[in-house]
Amino acid sequence: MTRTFANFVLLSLLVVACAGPEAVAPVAEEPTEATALPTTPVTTLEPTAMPDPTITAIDSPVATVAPTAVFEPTPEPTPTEVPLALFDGMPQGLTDEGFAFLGNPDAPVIVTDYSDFL
Amino acid sequence: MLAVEPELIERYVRDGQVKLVFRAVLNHQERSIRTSEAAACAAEQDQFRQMHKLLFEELDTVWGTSNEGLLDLMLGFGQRLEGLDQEVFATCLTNRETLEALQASDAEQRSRGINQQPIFEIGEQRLVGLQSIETMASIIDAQLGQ
Repeated sequence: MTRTFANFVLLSLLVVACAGPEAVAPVAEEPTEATALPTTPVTTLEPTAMPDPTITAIDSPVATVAPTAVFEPTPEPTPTEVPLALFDGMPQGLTDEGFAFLGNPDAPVIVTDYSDFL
Repeated sequence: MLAVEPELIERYVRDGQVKLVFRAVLNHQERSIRTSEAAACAAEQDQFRQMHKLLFEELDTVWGTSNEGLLDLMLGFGQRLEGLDQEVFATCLTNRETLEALQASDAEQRSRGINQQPIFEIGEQRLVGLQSIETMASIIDAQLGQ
């Protein structure tokens, strides 16, 4: 019994001796000036005056760029309706097939005269 | 056609109800051809009706002119039309610029049975030979829904 107890004590001492510093309870360190964390200086910024969006005048001289020519899109040519020639106050012209006609080009009735001049 | 044309024009063409189209029929050889060429060349300058009127007024002169003299006669008719560009008209006639189209049209018409004159087509309805204004008016009125 005595011998067992002695072995226990020896073993305990051995364990403590091998445990290393980690196993040692940390010792509270007193903070020193050298190790004190630096405090971040806080700068209070004055709000910057925002430009008034309605003010556009520029006092400073600005380099001017020669205006580039602005090309307007060429408008599509509008087909111009050629007025029909008149004969005795009535329009005359050529049909799409090339035959001479007299009267309203869009008349509801077409009379075709197959003839000659003899 | 000439007989009923003035009344047809006054009753139906002048107020826009009818469009009157002329197509040449070449049944009298060189006379038909030369007069039709003159009318076609004038038509290119929007003066078909003026030449049409003159050709009928000078019908006897046309019949009394030889085939060889028809070109000069037509050139002379052109000179009587006010506002006609004489150079363009003369070129058109001399170079026979409308002849091919006239002959092609005549051939197409003959293929449809149009080989005499006058023949009228009112819409789809064909009338062969001289017609009275009453006959033509009845067909036109029917097509107008009157």
